[in-house]
Formats: sequence, C-alpha cells, structure tokens
Amino acid sequence: MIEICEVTKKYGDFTAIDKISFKVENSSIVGLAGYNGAGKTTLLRVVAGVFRAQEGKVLLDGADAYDNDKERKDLFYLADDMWYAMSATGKSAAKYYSTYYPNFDMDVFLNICKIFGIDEKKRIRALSKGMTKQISIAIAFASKPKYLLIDETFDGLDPQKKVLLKKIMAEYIQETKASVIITSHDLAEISSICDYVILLNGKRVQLSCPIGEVSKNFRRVTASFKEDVTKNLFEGINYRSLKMDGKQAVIVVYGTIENELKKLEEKGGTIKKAEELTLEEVFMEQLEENEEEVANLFSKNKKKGTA
Amino acid sequence: MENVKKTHPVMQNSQRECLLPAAVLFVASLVFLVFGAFYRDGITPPVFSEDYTSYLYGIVMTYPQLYYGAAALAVGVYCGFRLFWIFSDQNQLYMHLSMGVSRKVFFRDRLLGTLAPLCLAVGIPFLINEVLNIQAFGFHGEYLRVWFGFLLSTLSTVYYGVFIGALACILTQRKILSPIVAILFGVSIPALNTVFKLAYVGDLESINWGGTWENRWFGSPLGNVLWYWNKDQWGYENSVVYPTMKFGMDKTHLLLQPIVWLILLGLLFWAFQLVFRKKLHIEGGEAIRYPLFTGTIMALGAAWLTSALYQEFLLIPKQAMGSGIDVENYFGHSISELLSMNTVRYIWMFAVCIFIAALVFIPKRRYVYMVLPVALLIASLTVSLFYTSTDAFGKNKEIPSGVITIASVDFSLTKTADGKKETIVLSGKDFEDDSDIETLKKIHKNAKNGGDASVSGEFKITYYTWEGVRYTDSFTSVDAEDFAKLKAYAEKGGRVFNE
Repeated sequence: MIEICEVTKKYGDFTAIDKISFKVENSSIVGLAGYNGAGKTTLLRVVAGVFRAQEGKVLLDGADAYDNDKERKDLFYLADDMWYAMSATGKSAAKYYSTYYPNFDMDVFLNICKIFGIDEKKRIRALSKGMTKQISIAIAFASKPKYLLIDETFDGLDPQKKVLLKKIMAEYIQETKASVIITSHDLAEISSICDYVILLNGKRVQLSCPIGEVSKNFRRVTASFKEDVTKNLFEGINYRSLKMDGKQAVIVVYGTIENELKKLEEKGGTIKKAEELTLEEVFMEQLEENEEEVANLFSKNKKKGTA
Repeated sequence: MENVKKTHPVMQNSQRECLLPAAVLFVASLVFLVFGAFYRDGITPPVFSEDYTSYLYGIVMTYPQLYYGAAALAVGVYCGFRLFWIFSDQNQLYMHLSMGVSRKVFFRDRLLGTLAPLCLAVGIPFLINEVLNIQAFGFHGEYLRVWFGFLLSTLSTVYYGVFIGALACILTQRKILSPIVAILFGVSIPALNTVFKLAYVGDLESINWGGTWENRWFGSPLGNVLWYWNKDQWGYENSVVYPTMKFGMDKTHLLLQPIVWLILLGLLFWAFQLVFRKKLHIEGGEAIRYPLFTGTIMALGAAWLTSALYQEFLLIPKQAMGSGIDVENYFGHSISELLSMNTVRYIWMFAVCIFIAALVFIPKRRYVYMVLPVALLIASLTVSLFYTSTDAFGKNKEIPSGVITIASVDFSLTKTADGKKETIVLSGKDFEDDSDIETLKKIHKNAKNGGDASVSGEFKITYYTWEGVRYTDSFTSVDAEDFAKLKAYAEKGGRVFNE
C-alpha cells in the first residue's frame, strides 16, 4: 500500500503541491488527473523518492519512501521521459534495469515486446516516441514492482496499444496485487482502468473518490429564478462553474449534491435539470469558463461577453 | 555486496558514455606523442631572430608546442562540454534515484566512471612517451618526476579545457550554442592574456609567448601569493610569476590575480549551484556540497594547470632544446628547485582533490582514503626537503649552452691576500661581447667548483636563454684569478673600491 500523507513540495518559493493526501491500496489503480502544471509529475517524483517533500511523507507499506533503498527495489517509476544509455537497444536497456530489480523477468519483457510488436534488438534512439514508451512499459512490468508509478501513461500510444496496455495492467494487478498510480490527460482511459481518481487543481486535491462515484459528486444544475441573477446570490454554495443568463443559471455543484440542491432552492431557485457528469465533463468545466475569451481571441470588433 | 551490485552499473554506464571522448583523447594524445617525438628528435626550432619575415612565421616555427597545447585544450573543451552534459542529465539522475540509488553513490560513481577512461586515454600515450624518453636520455633520478610532470601537464591542459567546456555548458545549456561559446571562451583567455602582456611589454616581439596558455591573470594565484611571501628566499627566478615581474607588473597586479581568480571561482560556484538547484532540483546541504565539490575539483584543476602548463609544457621542453638536452639541466632549474616548487605543488593539489572527494563522496571507510593524500603530501614534502637540504644536483649546474645574452652581472666580492683587503662592487652591467661572455662562463664554472677561499662575497649572473627565459645563478666565491678579471670588467663600467 502507498500512503501519501499531507505532502507539500516547493521549488524555492513556488509551491508545486500542497498538503496532498490519499492512499493506494494493494491491487488497485489510482488515476491522477489535473491540468498541465497541476503537480502530477512532482507528486509521482516525491512518491518515487526523487524529491524530498518539505512537509508530510510517503509511506510504502508503512516505511518512509525517501532514501529507502530496500522499499524502492519494489518501486518502479515509469517517467514520461525515461532515461536510456546512449546507443542502448531495448534488450540492453532491460538488462541494465534488471541489475537494479531483483525480480526482473526477462521473459516477461520479451513477451510484452512481442505483444506490442516491438523489436527489442533495435536501438531505442531509432524508435518513435510511442515505441520507446512501449519498451519502457515492458521494462516496467518485467521489473515486477509492488509499487508502480506511470507518468503520462497513454501518451504516444495508439488506440490499439492503449487497449493492450490496459489489459496488461489489469493482468498484472490481478497477478501481483500491486499498488499502481497513473497520471494521464486521457480521462476516458482513466475512467476505464482506474479504481479511484484524484483530481488535482491549484496544487491541491479537488476530487478524490472511487471512479464510480465521480458522477455522484458533481451535477450540472439548470435553475431559474424570479429575478435576474448575480454572482452574490450563489455565495455559500459549493460550485465549480457558473453561467448566468438573465433569470436562469447553469451551475456545476459538487460535494453532497442533495445539500447543494437544497441551498439553491432556499435561494429561490427552481431546479429544472440536474445532470450527472462524467470525469471528462468535470475536467472540462474549468475550460468552458474560458470559451468566450477564446472565441474573441482573434477578433478586435467582437466585445467580450460576461460570465 | 548489495552496494557494489547497485553502484556498478552506474560506473559502467559512465565509462561507456565516456568512451567516445576518451577515444578522441587517446587518438589526440597519440598524435601529440608522435609530434612530440619529432620535436624532440632534432627538429630544433629556429632561434628567435630578426631574420624571420613575418611574425606569424616566427611563432609558427618557434613555438610548435603552442599547437600541442592548443590541440590538448580543444580536446579538453570538447570533453568538458560532453561530460558535463552527461553529468547534468536530469533523467538519468531521477531514474537512478527512483531505483534506490542514493545521490551520493550516483555522483561518486558517475565521477569515477567518467574520470577512469579519460585518465587512461591520456595516461597510456604519455607513459609510452616517457618510456621513449628513458631510451633516449637514459635513466636518471628524475625519471619519475619527468613522467609525472608530463602526464600532469597534459592532463592539466585537458582539465583546463574540461573546466572551460563545463562552464560554457552550464552557462548556456544549449546544445548547439555551447560548444561555440566554449571555444570562444577558451580562445578568449589567451587572447586576453596577449592584450595584457602587450599593455605591459609594449611590443609583440618582447613578449614571452611561452606563458600564453599559462596566463598570469587567471592562473597560479596560490603560487604567486606563496612566492610573494617568500620572495626573499626563493628569488625572482624561482617564481612562476617571474615574467610578470620582469614585465614590470607591481605588487598590486600580483595581488589582484587571486582576487580575479576568486571572482571566477565565485562565478563557477554560482553556475554549478544553478544547475544543481534549478535543473536537478537538489536542495538543502546537498545543493552546497555537490557544486562545491565539483567546482573545487575543477577550479583546483584549472589552477593546477595554469602553473603546470608554463613550467612543464612550454618552458621546460624548450629549455631542454635550448640547452642541447643537457640532462643535468634538463629543466633549466635544479632538481631541488623543481621539487620544492612544482612537484610539491602538484601533489599538494592532487592530494587536496582526493581529500575532498573522500570527504564528500566516500560513504564508508572514508578515513582510509583520506590517509592517502596526507601520505602523499608528507612524502612529497620529505623528498623536497631532502633535495633542498642536500642540494644534490645544484653543484653541477652549468650555464645553458643555448644562452644568447648575459643580461647582467652583479657582484660584491672581497679578496683578502697578504693582509690586504680588496673589494669590488658592480651592478647591472651588460656584457654583450662574445669574448666577455665566454670569460664569464668560465668564471661561472670555476665558481661552481668552489672558488678560492681568499675571495668571499656575492656574485650573481643573469642570462637570457634563446627563447627569452631568464636564468640566474649566484655564488659566494670565485677564484682569485677570476677576481682579477672581474675587477677589469668592473673598471670598464662599474665602481671599484680598494682598501
């Protein structure tokens, strides 16, 4: 089990992640989602023991992860930009990594290469980004870690390889009971493979729930009011985005949905519609706020709309 | 055993990554070796005379060692750049850290794995070189010093290049731009030096070009400060800053050098800090220790180079040529002088490097490693003291046969005979006439053989060798017969006192 307890990491004065806490149980996959610069990679590096957290700690089966050689033999950090020796082939790279991982299984490596259709004797430098990623994936699973961290998991993979990766991952979890953390911008993929999702925003955890409960935690509510609405009206309501149009408002509320709907009704609103959101829709909500700005980006004559 | 298993791949990989630079170094060193063999085996550069038609021609024909140095420097710049690029590879560091390799082990193995092939690449050709030397000149007591000196001087040159290359790499961190900046930076130092020298000397022809690479502004601050404190004992001729003094730089300039050097060191440290802090995200005490270590090693290497280069790499081979490869004067200085000046300094710096390395990087049994530099230091000092006290080689010192000018003769001698005392004092007289010079050489030789007890005082003679290097010797007595000759010279232009 991986336990992340109140972890804060700063680069100088800049806080990259702030008091992040969650657990990754055995035989489970946690998906980390968030915008660019939200701190996903930083968090993985802290978990991998590359960075020391200024506050809080990461525990691998109860042992501190930082400067812990013993536990980290069971941890594999598949970075977005994996390091390979100059002129290394897939096989020689696997051999190199096998010197560090006592459980490394060369047959697994070769089989995964075969499944992906990658020639392990080719120089990595000559491979495409996606093919290099497949080599990295093969090395990661062949190392048979108890804790597996994968950054930008599906980046560079074609749809077929994404499916294969998910199958391999599911098979691996079932077989080894490993704890896995993956990051990705591909929310549909996170939804399809992860047991749990962590949404990072503004250096903090904004959403942390089992993947099946995402829809329960967010609602896009369309409400109408007797008078024109202003932003002040919605004070005290947990909302992620708000669009106002005369006497009507479209508001994405989160938390205990029943409570939030009740608050809206108390403020004189009539609930017309309350839609469940997918993970991707939750993620995209933030972007929608900027839609009008984008629409007016190249037009000098258009007036900026008001939110 | 687990530790060995873990660190081994890092070192192996570092060695593999350094193969290309090492191969370049190896080939370059072999070329240098062949070139050096020709140079030593009779292609005597023409005397720096007035009949050359172009200044460039004079430089080209007279100082082929410049190319030797320049080539070594270029190789060093390339290696330095490449090595630091590898060294500051963020991905590699992070991957190894995530695999449970500690920072300490990682950096130690990277450093050792990097240095080993490079040292071999340079060391093997120069070992061959020195074996050839023994065959050519016979085995002499100074063999070890010869080997050590040449090896270190070349390494120093490379080191200088590494220093420049690494610095450029850090400052730019751009793959394409950095080598260009590195080369420009490398070229700018000797260019600056030339400008400085021109400012003091006034004309190109009088510049001692042998010091171009050594550069008195950027190098040898330690030697200079030590010399300044001990100048009365060591004298000008023993100082690495002698040409500086010759060209009229004063105490202010001399003391300015360490300040300039300190500023450069500060910049270097700052640059390393940037890389370690900003790029590799290493923080806390480690952000101080690692750059300090790397910076210190590089800075010491550069300082080491600057004193070594002039003494060993350019001056000494030329002096050897100038003196017709007179083994006893192979270095232009007595062995005791050299031992006390050069070797001790090299060993001392080497020892400091190992000491710091042991302190910072060796996690276990570091005290064992720390004993080695201390032992080296004590041994070198002991040897130095032994030679200095016995003056084992000094008595046979001759005027180099390549001497073209006797700059000055200063003496104050008193002869006591038949109860009468006769004193002659002469200072600063130039002896340009060939017959005078021959006479002085004989006086010099007689004086070296002990002189006459009835004559006492101080006799000092200064020459310029063909390449413009000053050579000074002094005695406390000359023969009574020579005394009469000196008296005649004194009467030509000096003051004579009779009692």
